[in-house]
Amino acid sequence: MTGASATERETALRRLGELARSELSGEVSREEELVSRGRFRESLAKESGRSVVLWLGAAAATAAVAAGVVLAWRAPTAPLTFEIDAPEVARNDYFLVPSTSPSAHVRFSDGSDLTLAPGAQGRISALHAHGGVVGLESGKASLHVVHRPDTRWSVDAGPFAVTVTGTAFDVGWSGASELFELTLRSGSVTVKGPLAGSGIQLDAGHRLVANLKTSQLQIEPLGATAHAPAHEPAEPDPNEATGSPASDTSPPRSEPPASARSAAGTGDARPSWAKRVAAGDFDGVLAEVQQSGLEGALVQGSLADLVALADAARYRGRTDIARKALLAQRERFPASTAARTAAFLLGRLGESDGEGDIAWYDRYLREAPNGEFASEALGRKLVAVQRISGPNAARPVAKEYLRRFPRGSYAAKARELVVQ
Amino acid sequence: MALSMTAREPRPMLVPKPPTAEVDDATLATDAASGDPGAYAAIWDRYSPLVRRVLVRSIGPGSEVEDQVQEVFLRFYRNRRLLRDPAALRSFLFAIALRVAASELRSRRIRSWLRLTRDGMLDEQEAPRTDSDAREAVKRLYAILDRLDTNSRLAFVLHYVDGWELTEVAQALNVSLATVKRRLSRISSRVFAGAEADGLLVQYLRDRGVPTEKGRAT
Repeated sequence: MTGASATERETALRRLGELARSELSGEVSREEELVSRGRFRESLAKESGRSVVLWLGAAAATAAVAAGVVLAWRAPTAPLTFEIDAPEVARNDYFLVPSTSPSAHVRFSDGSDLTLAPGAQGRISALHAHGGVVGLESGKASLHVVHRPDTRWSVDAGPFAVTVTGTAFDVGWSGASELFELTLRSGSVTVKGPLAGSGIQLDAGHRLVANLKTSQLQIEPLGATAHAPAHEPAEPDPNEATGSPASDTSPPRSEPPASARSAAGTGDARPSWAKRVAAGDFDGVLAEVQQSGLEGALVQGSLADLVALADAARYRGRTDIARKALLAQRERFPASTAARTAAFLLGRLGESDGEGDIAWYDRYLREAPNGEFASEALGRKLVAVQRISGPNAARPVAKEYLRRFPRGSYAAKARELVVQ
Repeated sequence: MALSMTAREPRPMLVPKPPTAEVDDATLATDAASGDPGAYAAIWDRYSPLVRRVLVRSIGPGSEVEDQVQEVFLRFYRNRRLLRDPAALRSFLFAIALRVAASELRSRRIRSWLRLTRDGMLDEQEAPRTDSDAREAVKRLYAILDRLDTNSRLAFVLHYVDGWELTEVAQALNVSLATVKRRLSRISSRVFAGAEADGLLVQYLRDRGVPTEKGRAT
């Protein structure tokens, strides 16, 4: 057949596999996922109904119990409600706790509760049958979610989103300091946001601090003293929002998907870089790449390796390495979702260096108009245009932002610009 | 004093059992087997992305896999009592997903024979570097995979696309390691030859420094 050696053939097939892996992520939009989930639910109700008929034939009493369960599954459930113990801090679903007031407590009808520290402001953005969305514009809050099988809670803190199933944590966001902080006392959560890429899973007993000004993200065990904090506290700690010792009852971290493993390292017993970054071993990955040669990693590393390397470098403030890893993703895997995300992250890096951010945000918005970071990219572009060219130049961007993301994190700023 | 924030008073929720701090796979599977409807929703949330990814990569680009995703979870519901080790929920679902993918691939092959919709002939084109061309390259790769038998195709996808170890591929396909090695050895030559015959794929490989016979010739 051909003159290619077995090694060349193997390399070629692995490269083709990487191409397919990056193109075929299987990701669907949240709307599509909800439709799909609803369809399964309906199918299951029909299947369950058939089962109930059979059970009735076999044993009426048993079937009655089973039917009750089916009805519980099928019954439309009303959205949760909530009560707040300090009515003066709330206007409808919006809350603002004065910095001189004591903390306010919100109790939801599923048993979950939210403690709002002095200075906290935001809103209960949405409530549905199985949870809700808390939007924290500024300040600190503690959320304790009562877990049920279909619990779906999330907290939007500035540009960060924390997805919750059943857990207790303290969260803080300061727009002025661009500082996000999350202390997880029990359970596990997923954090998404500007420095967190497609999501970081955080386990109980850990604190995550993201400083957008310095583009640093740090994860450390609670009570750790080995690392200096990556930030200065944005606001004084509220009494009620103080973290307690970690629960040791949380399950082990789930395995990353197979796609995240390094294809190049399949014969290597060491964990992949992606796995190590997920475990917080940023320094280890950076040390390894510096020892083995950065250029080699940029040219030969798999897409998963490059993503992990860029994450580790960003989290440790090594913008020089992060930029190279992101550019390598775009050059070598131009069709991948990671390459599009890299455009956004290059914008963030450029912003911290004071150069070139708008062009990268524009590129991201062009390549991924409905992407995960579209709102954040357009909002940051808005801020950058205003900073560089003034409010008149920023006004069209503000109008576009409000048209596309009327409830986004930058909506207040955009409105401010539009009415000027 | 408490301020009610909505017109409705808080109402009791439908709670099939006391809340637990965390639910692991074994508990979810046990709850599902005992008929807890909420367990299925939780299993869906946890594993539908994995199942969808397995199906998309196995069946290929340009295919709507939503029906197959539904099929996987319905088969799980119907066969829930066959799961002997509840902690093996993930593997159980994965095995169902592979079977559904294999079934769909066989059905598509029969349909293509009947309708003559896919002849496997590929145009030779040079490849400008755009996203759409990367998508096209993936389509062409899967056109080559379409010529393989279903089990070989799944072995190729698990090993080269998902990056699985050969032992993991063998376990997932329920065959011996030797069989997987033999199968991959046989088909890798065919896939490589198919790629070498396609201008776009040759260009893709050449851009990444992978030599091919055609790349050397040009």
